[in-house]
Amino acid sequence: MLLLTQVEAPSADAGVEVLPLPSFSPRADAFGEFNARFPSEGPALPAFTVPRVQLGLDAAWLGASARVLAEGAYATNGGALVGVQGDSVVLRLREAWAGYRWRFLEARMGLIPTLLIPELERGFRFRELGADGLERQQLLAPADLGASLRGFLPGGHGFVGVAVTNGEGYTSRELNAGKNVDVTALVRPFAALGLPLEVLGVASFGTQGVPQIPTARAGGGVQWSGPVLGAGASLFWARGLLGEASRTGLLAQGFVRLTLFEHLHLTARTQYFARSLAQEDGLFEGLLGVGGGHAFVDGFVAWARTVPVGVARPSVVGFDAHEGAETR
Amino acid sequence: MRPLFVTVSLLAACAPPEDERQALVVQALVRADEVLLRTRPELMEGKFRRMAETPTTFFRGSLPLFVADWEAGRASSSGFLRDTLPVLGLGDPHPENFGLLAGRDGTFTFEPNDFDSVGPVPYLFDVRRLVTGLAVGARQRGPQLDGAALAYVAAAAYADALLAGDPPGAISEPGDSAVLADLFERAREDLGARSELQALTDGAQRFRRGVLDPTEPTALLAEVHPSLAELPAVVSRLASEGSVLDLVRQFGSGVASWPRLRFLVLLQGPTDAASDDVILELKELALAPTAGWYRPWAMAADTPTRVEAGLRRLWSRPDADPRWYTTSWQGLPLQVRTESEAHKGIRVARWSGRRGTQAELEKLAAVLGSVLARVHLASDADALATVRRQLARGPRAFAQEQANFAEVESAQALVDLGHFQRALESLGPRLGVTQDPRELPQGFAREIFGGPP
Repeated sequence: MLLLTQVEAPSADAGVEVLPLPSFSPRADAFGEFNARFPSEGPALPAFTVPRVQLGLDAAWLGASARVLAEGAYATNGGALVGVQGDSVVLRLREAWAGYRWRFLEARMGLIPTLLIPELERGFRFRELGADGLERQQLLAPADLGASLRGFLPGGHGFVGVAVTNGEGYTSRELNAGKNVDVTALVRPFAALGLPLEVLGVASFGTQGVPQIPTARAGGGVQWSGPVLGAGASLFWARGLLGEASRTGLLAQGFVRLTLFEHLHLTARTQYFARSLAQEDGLFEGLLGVGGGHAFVDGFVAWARTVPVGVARPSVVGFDAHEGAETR
Repeated sequence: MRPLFVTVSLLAACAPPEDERQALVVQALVRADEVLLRTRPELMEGKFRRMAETPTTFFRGSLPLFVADWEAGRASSSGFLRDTLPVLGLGDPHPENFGLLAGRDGTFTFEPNDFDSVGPVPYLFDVRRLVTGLAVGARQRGPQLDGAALAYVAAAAYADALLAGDPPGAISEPGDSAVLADLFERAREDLGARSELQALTDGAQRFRRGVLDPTEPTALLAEVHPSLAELPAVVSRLASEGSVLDLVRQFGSGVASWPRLRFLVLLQGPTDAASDDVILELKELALAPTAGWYRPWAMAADTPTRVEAGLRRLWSRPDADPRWYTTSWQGLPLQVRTESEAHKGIRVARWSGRRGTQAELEKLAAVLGSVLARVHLASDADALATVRRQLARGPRAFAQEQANFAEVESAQALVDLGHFQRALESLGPRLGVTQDPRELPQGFAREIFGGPP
């Protein structure tokens, strides 16, 4: 629920320039769910959970803009410094940046959203049902500390951008001197016709962790991001996985969504992540969801199935599961 | 034999190149302890120094590396894992995590004595931690020992006991094992002499302070911070044991848990005499490296509940140590247990003389394998049925596969120790995690998470 306020052009009055007031837009998202999980490796685990809560504030004034977005999320890795056990909710910054747009250029600095994943999430629209495969498989982070520069193509035809970030994502500190460089492009070839067809691509190079394990990701896809119908498919190649510099993998994913009668949402998504190209070693995930919304509340009933295959079957423990979730 | 050979060859083929392996070792260890490296750098330096000492200390401290190898498929490849449900396991049953505990009646039983990583795990994960730990110990003691043979015996004993559903009951006598006989003999001597009271209190009803053993400078006791005055309240569950006489901070115990907070509490015994006082150890608990595998709520909502539920179910008698329980203090999960010199544990360093022969160590391996089977038999029937189906396909082939695995993995452990030692030299004592003084906790937190004074 993001409220964007356009800046009115200042009017001249007797030679006195009246500057507009800055605009502020609060935002709040809370995801709660009843999650009935039926693992193939163990008993069913039905549970009420609040996987994530986000609170934030956007500000804009003339060409300047800023956002502070905090999130509460379950700490599954003991991320708190003192006195908090792993299964606790930690409060952390998801975004905290300031930016400026001058003509067709926009620069941001701080804890910024990276350039590709937000666009993929915008196409899919139902992030709360499950993260994009790039984030889920930790190939790219949705936000990171750094700076970005985007050049917008005329006529709403998209953008080309570059981001330089720490590379450890927004949940971890910087651990090495190397920086990640992401070059991202989004092109709307038929923007002049009002058709929401988008072609996206990214090339990312960087390092991971103290030993500076080199990583590279490249790929892209195409998506139709209309308000009623959305569909997309993408393919990404990744090198530097699971702590091994030479390990390469592939992520393929596709989705379709349809909104009927204004508020009835239907969606399906599939992801396959090949953790290695040297052997059969992958994770398949299928997702089906039906939802409805009214005012600022959305509800979903979703079924998800995760199946590890090949080497991943004994290795990726606890992921072989049917999952049903109602998300709001 | 051929399929098993192929399995092990596959493991080797999947291994990353040497320089990559060093990066992977560093990455796994830093990622597991990143928070501690930032908040308790001095204590983490102590842990890494301890890990670098011997193959066994490295193996004990490198569970996160084993987990990373499992998740990447290097340690989980097996012909005996398909479609098995998780069991309630120890999570890290290397040989030095077993030993004697004195029950309420003063008798000893041979039990698992470390539950830091207890929780749902694939049964084979536990088996492979055990057999690899045996093989690493054998390599440490010298070429006269056949680690693969020890692993075979342990895995065969595990398979036999699990298939029969008839594991050994409480082991309260050493049987014909020289290693266990040594444990029982020394434990009984120390129980009678109350050695821990003499060593730690010097006969007075107060702990000694300072370096207790000049040959091991990390073994140091110090005055606790005044802010810890509330800490004795966590032992209120043992109020019937007597009032708190003294409390000190303890440094230098364990390997993986080296940087965790430890305290010793001196309790008044039944009489005013110092000779019957009781010492408790309070140890900070942490998430297991396998915690995310089956979601945190699969077994317990928090760490103390997980650990206490585990130990009650997995000991051969519920009060193997009647003072062992878990609690929390200022948000820190804590474990309370009896600190006694009589609680002798298996130590690879004592695998010498008659205790260090191949025959004696195979007896020990058989005991450890059957005790691990007993532990797993506390799991639910559905899980056990899936494990039995796999083992029944060929118990001897299963044992051979684990022997082959232990042979390869223990060799890798020694190589990894070399990587680790070189990484400490090149990256520094904190493995290259740079310290920003602004990130260090302040005040009380800084003092409590700081290094030995």
